[in-house]
Amino acid sequence: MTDQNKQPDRERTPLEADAEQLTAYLDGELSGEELAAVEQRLIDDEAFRSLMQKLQSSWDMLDSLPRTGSRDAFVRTTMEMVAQAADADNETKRQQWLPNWLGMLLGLAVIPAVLAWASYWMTLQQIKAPRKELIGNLPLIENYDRYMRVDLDIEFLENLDEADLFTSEVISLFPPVENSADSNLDADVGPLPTQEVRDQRADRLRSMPPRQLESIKRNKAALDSLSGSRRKELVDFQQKLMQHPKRDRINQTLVAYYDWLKSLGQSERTELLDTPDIPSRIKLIAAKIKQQDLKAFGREGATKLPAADAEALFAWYDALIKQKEKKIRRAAAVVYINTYKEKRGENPPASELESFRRKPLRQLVGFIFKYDRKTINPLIQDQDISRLKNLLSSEANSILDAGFSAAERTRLIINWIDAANQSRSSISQEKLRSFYNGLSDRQRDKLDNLSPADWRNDLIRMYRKRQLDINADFDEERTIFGGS
Amino acid sequence: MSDEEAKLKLAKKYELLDPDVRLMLQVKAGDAGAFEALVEKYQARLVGILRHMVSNKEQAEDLAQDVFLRVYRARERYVPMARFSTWLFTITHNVASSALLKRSRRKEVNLTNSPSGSMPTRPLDTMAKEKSSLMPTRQADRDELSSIMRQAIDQLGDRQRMALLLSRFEGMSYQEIADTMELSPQAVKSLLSRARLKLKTIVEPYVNSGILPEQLANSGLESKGDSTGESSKGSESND
Repeated sequence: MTDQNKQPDRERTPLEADAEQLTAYLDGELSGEELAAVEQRLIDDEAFRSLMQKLQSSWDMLDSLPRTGSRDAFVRTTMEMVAQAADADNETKRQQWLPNWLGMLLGLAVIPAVLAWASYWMTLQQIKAPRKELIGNLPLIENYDRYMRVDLDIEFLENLDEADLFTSEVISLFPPVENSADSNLDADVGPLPTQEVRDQRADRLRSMPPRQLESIKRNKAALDSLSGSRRKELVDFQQKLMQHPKRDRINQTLVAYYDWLKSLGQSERTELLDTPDIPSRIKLIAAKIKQQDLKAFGREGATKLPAADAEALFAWYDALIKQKEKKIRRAAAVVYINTYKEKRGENPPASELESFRRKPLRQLVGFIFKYDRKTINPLIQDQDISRLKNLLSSEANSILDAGFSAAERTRLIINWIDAANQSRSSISQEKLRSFYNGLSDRQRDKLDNLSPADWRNDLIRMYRKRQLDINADFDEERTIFGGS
Repeated sequence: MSDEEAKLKLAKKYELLDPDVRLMLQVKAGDAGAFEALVEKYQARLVGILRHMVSNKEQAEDLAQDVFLRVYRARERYVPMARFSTWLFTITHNVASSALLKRSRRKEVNLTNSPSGSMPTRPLDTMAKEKSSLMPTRQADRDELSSIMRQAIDQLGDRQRMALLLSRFEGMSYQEIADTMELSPQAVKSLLSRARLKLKTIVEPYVNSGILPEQLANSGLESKGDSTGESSKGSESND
């Protein structure tokens, strides 16, 4: 490497140092203490905040640059150019191998004969081979999608099976997303066929419904397009799995693990693949499952709390926000300015900011939850949690004490606050109607079989749950920003 | 674990994670359709990035085709050691750098860093006035802003500009930009920070009082507010 990585010799000015810190902050490249320090300084230091806004504003203005597309024929001409280059490469190779006259002679005499023979042989194979191969590799083809996305490591799967992480309770909290192409495909892929002889496979193939057969053909085409080594790896794994004494259990674990992987983002999957040894990876999987469990529990928390506890939570929450009113208003204003700029590309007018600052506290907290949830964390301190615990029943306290770390408990309480906030905001009939219209036929049928009171209660519950899940209420957003 | 094993593990990881890596492996296995899919997927992004690096769209398209040709020629020895996009943009960066270097050697300074190069063949304010008389005000404002931003990024050094384009338009992390440009993540952080400061310095007078960058450059005021440590016109001294 050249001197590209060399840092400038001169010392950075304070402005440059601040800009570097803020750039990393705006690019989402800070974490932990650095992130907290920058956020605290943004709250405390107006000049620092102003610099951040200016840096972000000029950065956002880049969006005004026209998006340059390529001409319509670009792909075609590129492919033609590549084909010409490939021909030229082949020609060069051919010339390196044979003198011209010999090549011509071969072309005239030998190649037609070889082609004729090859054509006959290929036709024969085309009749016999695909079906033979399809039957031989059926279990592999059926499970192709799973094998491509999990680690083909029997030892890892054995350890994962022993860890017993994928109990039905956990899986049921995170069912694979319905209607996704993956899930549709999975519905057609059966579990690992056991003790199946070749004739049975052939029978099974013959009796497959067209949709399943289509998916099998698609998988086979994908398998055929793999490199030789990758394909061999899949075949070897399949054989090892079939010969494994606990093959059904291992296969169930593999299926559960594959389903669970779908609940992770790309970076989380990379983190798993980057974790080198098996015990550490399993530990990481266990930690992630616990995190998801906690999150799901938090989402349901407010409705699962006994009524008396929900009341206590609301009382605590009202006292908390009153006590921290100044901090909340300041934090909400920062979030408001940043969000406004992000959406409108400019600072909010002073009058609008002033009117926002005067909004009811609970509305401001709701706003922070919606647009920058992490801003809430520093507002909840240990003494606040102790006060809450004093107010809650022993049953609710036992939930809070159920093996959570301090940070996890804070997150859980924040989820409760969110739920408390959401559950006490009014829902207009229009919103409910529009939400009902957006449900699937199946969901609407289920609701319509209920009594009118239950119908409304269930609809509201589903609406709240959706709000908590996706955290995006466009009507309210339009209200806050005065129309689109 | 031996180097070879580590390489294989990494290759497998990217094959599992990145569908474009899988397409490229199909190209390696002789599937021209897979290559066409990659060209279709990346052509606009590539031309978009290159358009901001060189003087005109035609040249950007020529360079993009050169990039794709290099990718195709490298297919037989392709082993995934990064996401496909990272590899592709590394080649793009090399092709663009080499084109810029050749141009500067031939003194055909018709590149984006030239005050009269790229977009503005006429003074910016004239263009803006013409446009505002022909179109609704909003369109004229947008065009003016677009021209200003164009001029602003043209004034960045080549590496700052490439880092900016990869960060803003490709959404790459510092590590990915570092891999693409063969820099350290710290160097990328520094490049982007200076690019942001430089942009701020250029657009601030326009935002505050409507002064165009060209007027600012003519007035000689620019250097007063610019503490980025990098002179304009593509100087790489502090890049």
